[in-house]
Amino acid sequence: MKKRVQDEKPKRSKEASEWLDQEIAEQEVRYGEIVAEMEGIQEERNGWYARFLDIIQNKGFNMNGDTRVQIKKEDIPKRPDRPDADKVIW
Amino acid sequence: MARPHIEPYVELNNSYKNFNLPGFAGGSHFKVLSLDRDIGACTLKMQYDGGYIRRPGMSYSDMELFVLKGEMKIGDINCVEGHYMFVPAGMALGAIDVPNGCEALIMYNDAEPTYIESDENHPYCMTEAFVSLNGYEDAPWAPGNVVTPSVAAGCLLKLLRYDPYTEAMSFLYCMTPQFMQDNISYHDCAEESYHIWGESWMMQFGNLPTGGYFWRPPYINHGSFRCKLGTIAFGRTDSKLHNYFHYNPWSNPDENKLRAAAMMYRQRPELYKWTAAHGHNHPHGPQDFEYKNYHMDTQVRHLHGYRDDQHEYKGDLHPNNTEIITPAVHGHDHKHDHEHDNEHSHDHHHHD
Repeated sequence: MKKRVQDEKPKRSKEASEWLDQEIAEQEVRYGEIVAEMEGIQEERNGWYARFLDIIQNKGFNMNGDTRVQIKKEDIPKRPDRPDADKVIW
Repeated sequence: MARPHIEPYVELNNSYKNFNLPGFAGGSHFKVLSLDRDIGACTLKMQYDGGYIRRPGMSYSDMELFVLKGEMKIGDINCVEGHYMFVPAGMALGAIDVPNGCEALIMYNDAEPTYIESDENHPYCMTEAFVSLNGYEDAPWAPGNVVTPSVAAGCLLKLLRYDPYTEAMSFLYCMTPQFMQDNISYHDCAEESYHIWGESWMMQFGNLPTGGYFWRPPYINHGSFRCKLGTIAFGRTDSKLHNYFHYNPWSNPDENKLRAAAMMYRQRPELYKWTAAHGHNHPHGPQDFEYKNYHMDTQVRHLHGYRDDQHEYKGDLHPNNTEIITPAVHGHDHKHDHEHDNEHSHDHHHHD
């Protein structure tokens, strides 16, 4: 069985561990800022969703490439009543 | 890969930091675009000062590089704007010389950045995996329908690297002015992008301008799509990209994953039955007579939750009440750290 270079990696150095801890902490802050920013545009996003659902009933939905299919009004999805309904960052 | 969903992130608003890890100090600076909390794999935007030099050396991680601005000489390869490299772990890169400054995306795929001074390849290095080309000059634009179901006309792709085991790709893509696509997409793979130039729009996240970045885990809705004036971007996937298109803005990743599995149930029924109903989804994966050693492939291991540093399985793919039939074939004995409702023993002897 062929061995891999990655299996030969020495134990992570103290400097590398500290660097990682610092950068992971900063990434968590960035993630929180992104979540807040995305929650902040929810009203605008609701308008984008409404426009999209209108377009796919008239101009059509891109089902594959440039092939469009009009979606019937009765098939248009409705916003579910659940806590994550407006979530876009996961 | 355990990177969080970072989307959108516009790095241009943030400053570079001095890169002081051993082997990197002295004229190089970084911004983290995304970082795997478990293994330290990361995507960095790097800035090298004019006059930066580094002696030949290797990393214990696969590494990818894309030059955004300026030029850097790596050994006898002159890397100007658009140059892409995939450098397999253990491959000794030549001396780096940056005469007038340079900016690049640098990606460490398996672990945190490492550098060991060496002018010889590691004995286990897979040198045949090395890729070096200028994406702007040496790769043709291909229509987006290389993947079907396809994106709309006006989204084109330059393939820079393709991994035959996982179908992971590194590529440049562009959206033409006035590109539009009225559907919502998700994939089985993680997807990453950095906007080199231009602005595009997605219905969930709004505008992504020049310098905009995302790392998007699997099964997350994105789109519909618009691009007013054109965009060129660097992108990657960590495995096969399949476009699942739909029009429900409120579906969540669990529902999207169920839908993908339902499509497999309908469209590949025998494989679905074999995998799901008879306990063949062993975490090491089934045997493949063509790629006998694929279990050892680094990217495959990452996708299934192995950590190189701990050498153990971290995934949760094994269902309850299943019988293990497929032997794992990598060369060590170990116990699995997942649980069953049934009480059968689950130690393997693995073959060399």
